[in-house]
Amino acid sequence: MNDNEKYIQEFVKDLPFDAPNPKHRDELKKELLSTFPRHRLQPAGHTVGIWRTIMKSRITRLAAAAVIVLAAIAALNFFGETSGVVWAEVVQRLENIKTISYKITGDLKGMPGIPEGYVAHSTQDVIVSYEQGAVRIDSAVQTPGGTRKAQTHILFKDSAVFTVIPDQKKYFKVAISDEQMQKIGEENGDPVTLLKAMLEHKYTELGRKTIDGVEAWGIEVSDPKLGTKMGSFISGGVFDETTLQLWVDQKHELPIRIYATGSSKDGRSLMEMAYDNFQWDIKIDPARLKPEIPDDYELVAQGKWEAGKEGQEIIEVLRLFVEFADGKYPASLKTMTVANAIAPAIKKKFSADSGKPSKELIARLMKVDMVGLMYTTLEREGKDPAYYGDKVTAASPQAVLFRWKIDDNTYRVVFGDLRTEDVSADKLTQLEASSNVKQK
Amino acid sequence: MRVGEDDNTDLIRKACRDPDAFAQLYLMHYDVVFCYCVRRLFDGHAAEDVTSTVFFKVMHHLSSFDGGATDFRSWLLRIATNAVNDYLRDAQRRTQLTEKAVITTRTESVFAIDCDDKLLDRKALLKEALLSLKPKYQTIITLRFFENMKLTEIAACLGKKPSTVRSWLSRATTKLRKKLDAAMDIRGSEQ
Repeated sequence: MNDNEKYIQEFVKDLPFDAPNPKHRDELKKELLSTFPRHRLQPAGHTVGIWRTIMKSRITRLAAAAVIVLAAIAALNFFGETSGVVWAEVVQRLENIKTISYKITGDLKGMPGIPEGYVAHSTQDVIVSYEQGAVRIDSAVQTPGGTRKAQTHILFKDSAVFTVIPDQKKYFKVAISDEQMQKIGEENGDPVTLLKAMLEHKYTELGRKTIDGVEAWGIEVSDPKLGTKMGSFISGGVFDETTLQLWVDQKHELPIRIYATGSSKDGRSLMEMAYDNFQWDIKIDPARLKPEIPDDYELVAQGKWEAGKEGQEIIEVLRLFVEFADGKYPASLKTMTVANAIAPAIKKKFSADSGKPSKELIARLMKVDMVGLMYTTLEREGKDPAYYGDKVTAASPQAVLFRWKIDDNTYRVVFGDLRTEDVSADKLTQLEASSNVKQK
Repeated sequence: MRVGEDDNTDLIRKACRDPDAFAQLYLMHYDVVFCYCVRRLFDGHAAEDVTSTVFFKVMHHLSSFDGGATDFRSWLLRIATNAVNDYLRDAQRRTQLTEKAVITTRTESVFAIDCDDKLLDRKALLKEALLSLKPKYQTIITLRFFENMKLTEIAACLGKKPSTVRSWLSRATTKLRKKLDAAMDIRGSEQ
């Protein structure tokens, strides 16, 4: 302790200050409790099988990872040649950024892996290296069974996503084709493309706000089509509405906070996430970006997502309903609808047999969480998909269950028995009319 | 990990969704927050206002706290620091507080028990000097000398590097000492 410190310590010694007032303490307590957030009052969580927890935890991680990746990229590319006072310099700064770290905190409800009605509190520490093409996410999600911790590594150069669960000595691997990786990069990495996507939608300048004592300027994009236009990762096929708010520190001209919110029309799915503690151009040990998988860790399942095969992958998911759910298909291809429809059937099957699903089956089930994403990809790419699971079952082999466009004038039609046929647009109109699936 | 820390960690977790647990957590930490605020603001009513703000923030953001019981105090003080700084950021309010600091000193003495005049004078000088510093320096001084936190604890609380905190502390103590010395010189020459 130097002289100045000793001097001040001596100076402040024994100074009298107001003591806490019990009356204020009690009044504030009442006030707080009267406004305690109602959505926090949790119902008891369902007990889920361990395999399902494992499977879904990966899925949750991946879904979250996807959101994070977009947010990170969005943070870098939100601004382009706008006429704002600050934006041009923000763009310039962001274009030169090589690494970022930040924290995400928030609540998730109705996402894969989270029991119905439960609001899971999630925290994620993220590091991104654009030089190395890698992202690491250390996440913790509170569920009724305790806190689930995992590390997710997205390796763009290797076109792979790893999720490691150290507590259980297990890991998952999802391979994403080079083409798909490239597509993700092109669609989300190009500032002009992203800016155009934003400008095509209504966006709002939010003005100034003080965040953690820092003067910030904000912009908000809120549009039902935001998810699909901006890569669909934010919605991931789970939410009907998404809003992205970005606040930039005016002094340093760098993003200081991002708020991402999403909700489904039925209120069953919700996401309220805040991204902050941004640190730019930090030094990152390359070893931290590579997954550490000890030899005794078990590879639970491997998945694959290839660009251009979304329709086929969806059929594979629908096949699960023929095998396990008596051919009764999910009412829609929203991720949560599909997950909620297949989960009881699978659970019943394996609790009755006291068996354990094979790795192959888990790999197939892993595709469930991507259904919404795959469907929105078809929409985004103008492939005119339509799905009629609310009207068609496996018992209607001639009815059109699902279709998408495979070239300018040809549609691939999937019938109730999952048979496929490529037909012209005119023929499709006839088939749909005879199936009585179109809304009148 | 200290004895009882597990219990506290459990309590924090429960408090995210259980109002009773939250109430318990609140009662355990009300004094910590109030005392910090009153040492930053030198005004009991202002400290109560800011304490209220702090606990509403805590209630809405408790789920984002992911540390153990030992980190909870730092987390609370970080929120309190931001709330106090927000409060002080209103320049007019800051001026009023500084002025009030001087005016109320003598009034306080009427109600003061076990406080001699010298202590009240010293407090008045400190108020004036401290509130004229930048909020970050005020924060450092309060955490270091009133909360008795180590540099590393302050760094964790503020989310800054220890080296930054050390540098801030050095500047803050130098500036504060100069102001206190100057104020005492003036006081001496007036008497």
